[in-house]
Amino acid sequence: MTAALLDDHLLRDLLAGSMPDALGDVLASHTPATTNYYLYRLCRSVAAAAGGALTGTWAPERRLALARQLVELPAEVDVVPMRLLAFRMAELAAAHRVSTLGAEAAAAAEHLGAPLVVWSGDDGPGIRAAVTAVGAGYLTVAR
Amino acid sequence: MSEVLGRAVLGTKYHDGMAIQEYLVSTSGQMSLPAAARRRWQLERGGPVDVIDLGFGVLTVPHGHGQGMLDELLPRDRHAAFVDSLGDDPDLATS
Repeated sequence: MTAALLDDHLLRDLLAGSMPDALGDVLASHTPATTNYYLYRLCRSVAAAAGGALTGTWAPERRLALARQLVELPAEVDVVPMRLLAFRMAELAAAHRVSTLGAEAAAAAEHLGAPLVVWSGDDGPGIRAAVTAVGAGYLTVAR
Repeated sequence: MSEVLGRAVLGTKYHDGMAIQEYLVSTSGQMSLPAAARRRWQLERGGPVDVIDLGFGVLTVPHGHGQGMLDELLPRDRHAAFVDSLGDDPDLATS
């Protein structure tokens, strides 16, 4: 079974156990993977979140302890090490108008031979172009 | 196994009706879930729970609710707003 690279929106859904049906369909035939930068962006977001009814009154260090556990990746979610991608990322960043996050997504998709699957509300044209240029699939998922 | 496994130790620090009770852990690491929680979570005949080790404490919630705590801490729309706030960040923007 090949991998499918998930962006941070869909990774959040996977970790929260609230996958949209379309993502469930993708993962019925692919194993989940993500990138270092998508994971980092999700961690930045969850670390910055104020918390809800339960954790909103917690001390910051306690809320962060919970956040850290909630975004810990299960073993079945693959992340390609940066050491395998860095040079290709540099090439892609020079050839396309993409952020570092976008360059890694395209390099990881190429490395894994995996489609990049993103939430349709955060569909970046630069990333889409870079991923298409390396010959990998690009899918959007609505929710 | 200890005979006092899961027994609330009363009459020391806490007043009647307080939510905090002191429990004992057996030498094999076992502890009982409070009876009220067992009833509320329909675990009178046993079953799984989700346990999250936070370092400063151990959080026990009904089975299947652990993952959902991420939905509370970081709802979809809040994460989307965070990503949107990154704008033209050269490293993290969706571009």
